[in-house]
Amino acid sequence: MMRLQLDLRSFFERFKIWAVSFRGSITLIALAGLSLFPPITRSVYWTQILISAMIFAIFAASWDLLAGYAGQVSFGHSVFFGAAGYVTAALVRYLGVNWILSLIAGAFAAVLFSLLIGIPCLRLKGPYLALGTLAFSLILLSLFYMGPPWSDILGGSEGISGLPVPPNIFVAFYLVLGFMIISLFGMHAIVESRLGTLLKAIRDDETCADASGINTTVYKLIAFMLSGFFAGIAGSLFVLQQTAVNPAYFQPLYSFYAIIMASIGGIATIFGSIAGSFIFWILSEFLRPLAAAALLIFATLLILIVRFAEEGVMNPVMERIQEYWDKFRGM
Amino acid sequence: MLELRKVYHYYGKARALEEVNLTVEEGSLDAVIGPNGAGKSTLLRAISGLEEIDRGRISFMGERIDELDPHEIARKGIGHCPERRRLFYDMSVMENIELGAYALQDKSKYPELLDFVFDIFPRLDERRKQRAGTLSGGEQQMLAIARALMSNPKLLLLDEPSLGLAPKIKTRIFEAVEQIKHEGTTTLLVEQDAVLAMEVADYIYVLEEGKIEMSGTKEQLEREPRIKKVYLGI
Amino acid sequence: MIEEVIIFGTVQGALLALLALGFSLVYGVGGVLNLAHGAFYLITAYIIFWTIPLFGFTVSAIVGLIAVMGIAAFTSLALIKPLQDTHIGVVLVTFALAFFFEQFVKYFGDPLYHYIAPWVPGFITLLGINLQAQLLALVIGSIALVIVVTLFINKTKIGKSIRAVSQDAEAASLVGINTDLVLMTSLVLSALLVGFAVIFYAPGNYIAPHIGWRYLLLAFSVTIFGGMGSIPGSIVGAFIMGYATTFTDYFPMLGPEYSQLIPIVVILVMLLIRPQGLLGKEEVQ
Repeated sequence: MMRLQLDLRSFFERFKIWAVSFRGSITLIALAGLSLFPPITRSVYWTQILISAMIFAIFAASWDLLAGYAGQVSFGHSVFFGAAGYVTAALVRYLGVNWILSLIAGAFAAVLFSLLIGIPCLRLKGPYLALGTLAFSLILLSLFYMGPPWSDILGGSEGISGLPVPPNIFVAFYLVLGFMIISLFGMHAIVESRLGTLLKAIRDDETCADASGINTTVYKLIAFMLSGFFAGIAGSLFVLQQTAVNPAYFQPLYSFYAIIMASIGGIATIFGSIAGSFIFWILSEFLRPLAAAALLIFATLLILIVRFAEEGVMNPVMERIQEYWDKFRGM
Repeated sequence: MLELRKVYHYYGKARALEEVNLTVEEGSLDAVIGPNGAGKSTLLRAISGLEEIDRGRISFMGERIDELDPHEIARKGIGHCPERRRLFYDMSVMENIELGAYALQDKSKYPELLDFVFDIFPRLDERRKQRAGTLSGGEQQMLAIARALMSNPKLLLLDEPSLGLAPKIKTRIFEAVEQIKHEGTTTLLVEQDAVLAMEVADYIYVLEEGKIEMSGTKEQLEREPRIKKVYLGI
Repeated sequence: MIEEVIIFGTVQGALLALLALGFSLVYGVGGVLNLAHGAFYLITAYIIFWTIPLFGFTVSAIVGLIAVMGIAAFTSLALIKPLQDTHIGVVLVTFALAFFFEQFVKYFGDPLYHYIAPWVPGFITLLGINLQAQLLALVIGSIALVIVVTLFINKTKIGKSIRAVSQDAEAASLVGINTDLVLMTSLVLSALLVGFAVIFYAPGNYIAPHIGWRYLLLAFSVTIFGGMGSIPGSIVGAFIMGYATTFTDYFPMLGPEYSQLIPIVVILVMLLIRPQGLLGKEEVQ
């Protein structure tokens, strides 16, 4: 009990330090601004878009946790998203389970899948892992598209639809906001903890970490499970928002979404995913008149970011703002 | 012919080479001795461009080479016989030798060079078709030296040619090193076996913890009590 | 059933050999897993499909081959080479490139399925089985190409430098081989083989923007099976996989849908039992 108290206190101490730091205050101000958005604008349309953006911020951050911190680049992240979505949809639609329980069940289903992928893929490193996880998502995609008898269980290409519509979009907004804040602060706490340090050690030099007695296998698996859990939350929330799920959720496209959002925000930043996701969704909205070209533009953007701006787009911008901020505070 | 001026190299934060100054004159055979992990191999790798140096300059025949890629340096006439041989193990002896001549500018020299290496190492001539991976350790070392010689290098870098070999074969390899010297190929030899190295070298550098601690001819170094004690065991 | 498995298994194996050979070669040379490998197939197929009305098949095929080789050279020089020190960068950028091509054909074409007419018309009967003459051309073409490439790799100077780099890139650079150029050459060669796979296999089949992923998966599973970087392994692996998937297609209890699962089963089993593949030697990196 004593220790817990101490831990909590040090946690709050650290939070306080973080909150007055540049990045902390920017994040808090942005979150406050975000929470004021619906009552000020009363736009149902934009509220929907922001809900999607918040859900994908969780999803992108979960990818960042695994790839950016543990160094396990997954191209099969859509598996966690889709698996959780299916479980949630099935529970809500067929068994009439309460949405929050279904969501938790979905997240744990994603953890199960993360083990299913993580265990065989543990022996793989770098590019192999990327392709191995991609292969998984492609197989699930074709499995879910299969005709009878599979389609009787999995729903075939139709998937599961007709979930109850969230009664009030603004309530939904604050619920998702809550989920996003808890998930992102959770992930942030994880990467700042001892576990995060160990993961970074494995990422930077696995052989060395192994040699210094870290059980890399276990920690990589933990990273997979944690990442799967948060990706699952995102998948379940998205399905609840869309009121339907179909095999398309297993497409590499959804993994691509996570990767591009995390890359825009800067890899290994966690909170960058919020910026990445919002930029992605808002930009998509403005690119809507161009229809299919939007994704073409994003693909080009990702190529350019990976090639020329490893730090992501946000990091350099933030640094510039920080300079002004420091000047301002210095006055 | 080869000149290193104040060369520094770091592995991350660890310093591997510190203010290394070294000159190899044309036609001479110089050696770098020192304990394991002193940075001897790193020194050769820096010369042939496998490691990018952090400070200082390396010039070869009056031309700065420390910013070139390894294959460009090889084409300038530096043949590097790397540590632990690094043969193309799935290829035949002959293919390894042919690849050694990859950077050979004057192709008419090829038959002559072939005769030269088979003259030094007749064992390889007998095993032309054999896969390099199936050769004995001594034969692999011979092949590695032969491969480096096939580009007709102006400067030959030899990294630990005696490593892991039986004493008899060691002697055989060092006879070959002397033969190469007599043919007029300038050589920089890195060797842990100080006795052997000092036997053949014209000038010797002692590298310890990335620094050149001492240098001189065999006679000069033999007068140093520390060298006697640590390297020669007298 | 056995006749079907022999005939269609050989056809499938011939296709897989063309897809996997170059993929494995590129991995061997640069440790590069080219996630845009399937997208190379996709873009070649669409270039041919779009230009057939203008030039007819032969010229379109040549245009397609040249284009995909150019794309491969560009990919190697502009995207892969600068990122090669960070293997994650290479997979990310080729993944993004694969997406780029998928969206490219979707944008400039449409998301629908399209049919390319076979350039070898008609049907022939072998072992009592009717098959498109186009598929026979695929088998002959694939065998011829595999022989040519094997000879090229083993006998020519460029081929030997490719093998040298894949065995020991550092040692290769010490004998004066430009490893960047070799990587580009092998990527262009792999694109050429993919281009031929399109020429022989796409006519008589349907194409759509998402098909690239499937071909990438096929190439990956064959190379995992045969051993990453092993050329004989990828050829042997291709035919074994070809027969295995065809057997599943014709097995009474199963069906074509299940043969789609064969690649993942193969990948899983191989990764767990023999990660270096059938004929591979190296440790999985």
